[in-house]
Amino acid sequence: MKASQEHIQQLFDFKGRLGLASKCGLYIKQKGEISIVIVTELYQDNPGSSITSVTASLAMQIAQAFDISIENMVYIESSPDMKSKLSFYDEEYYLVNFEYTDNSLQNPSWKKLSKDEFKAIID
Amino acid sequence: MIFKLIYPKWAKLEGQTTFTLPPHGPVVMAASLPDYVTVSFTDENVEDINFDEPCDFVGISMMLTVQAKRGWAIAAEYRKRGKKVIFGGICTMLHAEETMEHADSVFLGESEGRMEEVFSDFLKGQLKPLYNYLSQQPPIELVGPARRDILKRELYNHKGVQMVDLFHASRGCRFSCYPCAVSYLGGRCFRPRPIDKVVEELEGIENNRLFIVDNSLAQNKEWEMELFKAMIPLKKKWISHTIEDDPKVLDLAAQAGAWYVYQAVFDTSDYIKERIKRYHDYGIGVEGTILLGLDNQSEDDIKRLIDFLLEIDLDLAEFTVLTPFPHTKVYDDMIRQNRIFDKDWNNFNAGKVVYQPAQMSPERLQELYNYAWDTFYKDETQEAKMFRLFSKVVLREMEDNTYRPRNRGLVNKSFGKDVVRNMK
Repeated sequence: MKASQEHIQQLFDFKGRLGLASKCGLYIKQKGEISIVIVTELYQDNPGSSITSVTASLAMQIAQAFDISIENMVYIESSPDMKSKLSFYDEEYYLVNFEYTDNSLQNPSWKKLSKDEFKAIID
Repeated sequence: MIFKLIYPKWAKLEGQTTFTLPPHGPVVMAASLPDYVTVSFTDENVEDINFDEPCDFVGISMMLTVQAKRGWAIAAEYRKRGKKVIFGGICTMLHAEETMEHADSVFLGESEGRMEEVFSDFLKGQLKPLYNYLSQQPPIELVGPARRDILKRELYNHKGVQMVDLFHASRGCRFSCYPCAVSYLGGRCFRPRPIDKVVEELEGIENNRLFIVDNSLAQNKEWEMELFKAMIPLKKKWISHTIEDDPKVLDLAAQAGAWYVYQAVFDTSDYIKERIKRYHDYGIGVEGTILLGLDNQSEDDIKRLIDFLLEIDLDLAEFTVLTPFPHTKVYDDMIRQNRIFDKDWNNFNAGKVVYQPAQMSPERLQELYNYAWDTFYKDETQEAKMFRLFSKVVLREMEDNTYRPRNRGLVNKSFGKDVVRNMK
């Protein structure tokens, strides 16, 4: 099973739990001042922590690496279509909201996006 | 130098026949210790811990999430006595950050080639809080025979019958199964051990009955067939997880002593029915492993699945409820959807519902889980079904002259305790 490449512009190496070397797919789209960041789970091709297990830390690492203003970042987690017979590996998108205090992201909360909602954000 | 190695106890699931098997993680880890270290091992599932037994350093090896809180409590007792405590094992890797709060040190990853550093640091008084080798697996060739000599074998004996010994022929997994953390723990590549190393270890195990604990042997057909060919002369009898669904492989497995396999039964398809039949055609028994509570299962689906199990002639069935263990996709999905309502790790035993199921209430899923056990074993108890499976292996052993009668000296003992007989 390979992750769908649809929303991956590049691979991004990040520090996972306890510094574990980890990898995700990354797509950044600029819409005016807004930076739309889509991180994609790579499953077998990710040697470390999942994108969801370190959401806030990963969002911060991306913001710092690409000089993205946190206030203007729309952060989306993508579980790609793995072409599996099991529905648990269907394509899914989650909009993640954080609390931003003392220069750090905390308390992530996820909202599942329908395909139409997702398209409306990125188009 | 004495290293006190502890395997914490956990509460077994109610209503199930419980056999305590000798643990695997501690004996594998013990094999990687420097020569100057003497190990004193206690499996708390079969004997009490003597916290005042003299030792220099304490290790706590945890496999299951339900061992975590007990492991932390044991560490507190030793640390009160001024002992340094290090944690390792699968559960430690899943709960690393929390465990660090209860430990002097935490080791993550596989221990081969790493223990010299840890013990040298300990002796210098420079033990690190974290040894993180999770992403740096040692060469698989380094994995040597496990130190089964540290086990008190008489404690893994039920009325004179010795329990199976645990053994592994590979590490890692190339699959990313929804509820499983193995690929996170052991790496996302299948790493088979060299066949000669496997045979060398198997030859050294006195027990004729084994449980090959590898996640799935069906990951590299060529290696799997070579493994089974090499095992034929050893005449061991063994249990394992899934075997490749190929007549040549199944035939070799049977010749190599396959006794029964754990096979996931996830739907009521003809494929599953045929899969079970093919195992049986080669004389291999099947214990179905049935996961209840997946998002695509309705109440009717679960009831239909249980009826199906009774039709397909399974030798045994083991039911579990979906449990969102950390570092699995199911955990991530449940966290995103805020569906985990019980965060007490003692309840993450695969028998208690700790999350909101998609198609029913948690209480209803719990009822269906109990219904599944009760229904499957209604006409013949689990113990009776196990005895039938056991009789089959005894017959096969008698045929190839490997049968050893039960130990008459232990017929009144069960896992170290006296057997209470209700005789009038």
